[in-house]
Amino acid sequence: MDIFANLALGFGVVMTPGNLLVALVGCIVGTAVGVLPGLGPTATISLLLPISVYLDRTSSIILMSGIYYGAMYGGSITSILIKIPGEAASVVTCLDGYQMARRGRAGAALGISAFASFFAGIVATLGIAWLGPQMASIALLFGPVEKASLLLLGLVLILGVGDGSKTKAVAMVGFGLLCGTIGVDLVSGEERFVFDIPHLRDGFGIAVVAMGLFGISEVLLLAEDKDAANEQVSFRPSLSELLPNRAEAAASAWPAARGSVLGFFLGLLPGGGAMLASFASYMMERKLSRQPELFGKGAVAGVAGPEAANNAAAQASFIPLLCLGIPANAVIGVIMGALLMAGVTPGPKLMSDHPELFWGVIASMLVGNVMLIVLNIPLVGLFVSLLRVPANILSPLIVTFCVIGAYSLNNAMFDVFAMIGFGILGYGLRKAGYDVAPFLLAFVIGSMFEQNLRQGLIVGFGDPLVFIRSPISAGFLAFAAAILAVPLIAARIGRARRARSSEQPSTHGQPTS
Amino acid sequence: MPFGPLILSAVGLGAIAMSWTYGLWSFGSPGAGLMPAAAGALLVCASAAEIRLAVPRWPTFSRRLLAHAGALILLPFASLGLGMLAALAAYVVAVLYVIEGRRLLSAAGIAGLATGGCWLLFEKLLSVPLPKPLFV
Repeated sequence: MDIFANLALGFGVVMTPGNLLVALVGCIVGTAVGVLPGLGPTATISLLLPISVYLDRTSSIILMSGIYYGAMYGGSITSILIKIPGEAASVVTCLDGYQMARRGRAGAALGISAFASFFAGIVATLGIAWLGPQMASIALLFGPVEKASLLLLGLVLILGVGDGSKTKAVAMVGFGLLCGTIGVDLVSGEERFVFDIPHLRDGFGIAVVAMGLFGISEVLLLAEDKDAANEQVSFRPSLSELLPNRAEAAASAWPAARGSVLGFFLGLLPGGGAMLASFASYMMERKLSRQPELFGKGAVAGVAGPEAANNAAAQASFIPLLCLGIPANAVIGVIMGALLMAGVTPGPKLMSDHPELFWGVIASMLVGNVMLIVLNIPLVGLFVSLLRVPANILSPLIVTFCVIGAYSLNNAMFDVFAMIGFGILGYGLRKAGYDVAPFLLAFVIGSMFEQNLRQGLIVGFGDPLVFIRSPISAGFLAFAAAILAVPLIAARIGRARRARSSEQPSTHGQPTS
Repeated sequence: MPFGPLILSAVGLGAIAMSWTYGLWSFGSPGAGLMPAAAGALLVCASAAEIRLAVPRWPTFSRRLLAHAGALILLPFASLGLGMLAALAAYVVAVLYVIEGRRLLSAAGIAGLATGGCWLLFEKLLSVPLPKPLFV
């Protein structure tokens, strides 16, 4: 059977009233979960596992996948409007999306985010249908050695995030890495920086750190400035004014396309695919941009690329599950649990044994993406109207949602204390001129990097050369070294040229004998 | 004094000292202390460079900011005693009425709507067991 016949089979499964309703419910719940800080798709899907028993197995997977990519859509809404990432993958969207909102282009940012996510969703779904089974084998090429090098490259790229000085970015990367090591070391079982506090054994959750560093610190910064706190967006724009204009749409097209492709490939990798994809896309767009100085100040490409990448990655992460039986992240792990509960073992034989399930899920992604764009675009005006609430009213409401969101992660007050602590820390760092984005990204990537680095060294019997022997790993390391070395060499050449040019006039000016 | 870089340097040095006790290298592979030591070293080096570049200035805090920060810090403690929803309602009223100078009725209305919405969404729909008051 060719791809079209397979998709036709999938559409035949999805286009029943029951499955369409399930996909719609999944998209709505997912968007809501993405909007609410704290409660992520993993927890929601886990809560819904008992319900999946009552549903047909294809319907239950359609529901759960709808929640997952719906959360990717929804996560950007609070990132753009109030700088609170609903999802870890939406952290990068805070950087430029929030700045666009502050410049009165919140609707455009939300529209760009929705269209880029939609485009990426379609590209990723077609990619899964067309290349999925072949691409699944790529995931197997990435062991701990290759992943450690890829994550090291990510850490090097983080230095370019934010608009502070490079030394401050390095300090924030170091601080983020340090905070990421808090808790029980997974390899040796040793407790690090736990200070006999039982809750610290598991370390800090990403959502707790993100809500504190971005949300709570923003509330404190607003509290500092009385004029800003009373500020209110008074305009009541029409829907056409809210949506991206022609220039913004043109500026977002290529970043969305590149983000979709990048997200698709990074989504195949186990662990942190969507988060890594959104961040890698942001850095790629910044490098490719003719105006990199606009990034962090409301660049359209800084919203379109990462949003496309995280949605494409979320959908591509189904490939290792459906084709190899390998869950790429925690959410996919829970979905795998639902499949196993339904008596389906995901793996290479899934496509031949249960074609209706495989192609039904893929077709549901296409349908779900259409549903999400239809649901989200008319709601842009409603979301933007949130900004009409004066900041001094919005601030305690943000705190209310953050506190309940942090508590609901583990039903523990410790997370609330930690979030407020990170909020005060974030405020102090921002006041001292440090950008907290590199901190958060290093915090997320650092723990994955350490785990893979140590596993890689165990695989290589303690020999660090194992990272150079693997061609993929060596490629990533060479790229990371080039990123660090090229600006230094360029600066040195520039200094030498300037020195030569300043010497030349005096030489010309000397009298000839 | 450049407080930011100094505090960060101290944190980095403390982390390096503690990492040493976890072991940097053991059984031919990195020990539990290697990563925090490397991160601490990165923090110390970058902060030391920043101390050299930083413009010394005393941090200043407005009374309004201190009031907001105080309310925020009290909130989790109040949640333990009053229960989360009552503490959040009290927080919203305190911020809007006491700090922001809004009318009491308006502040109470906003607090009621916010906490009522949270109760409905988190406690009723999502079955999150929010902390209850100690006296119940």
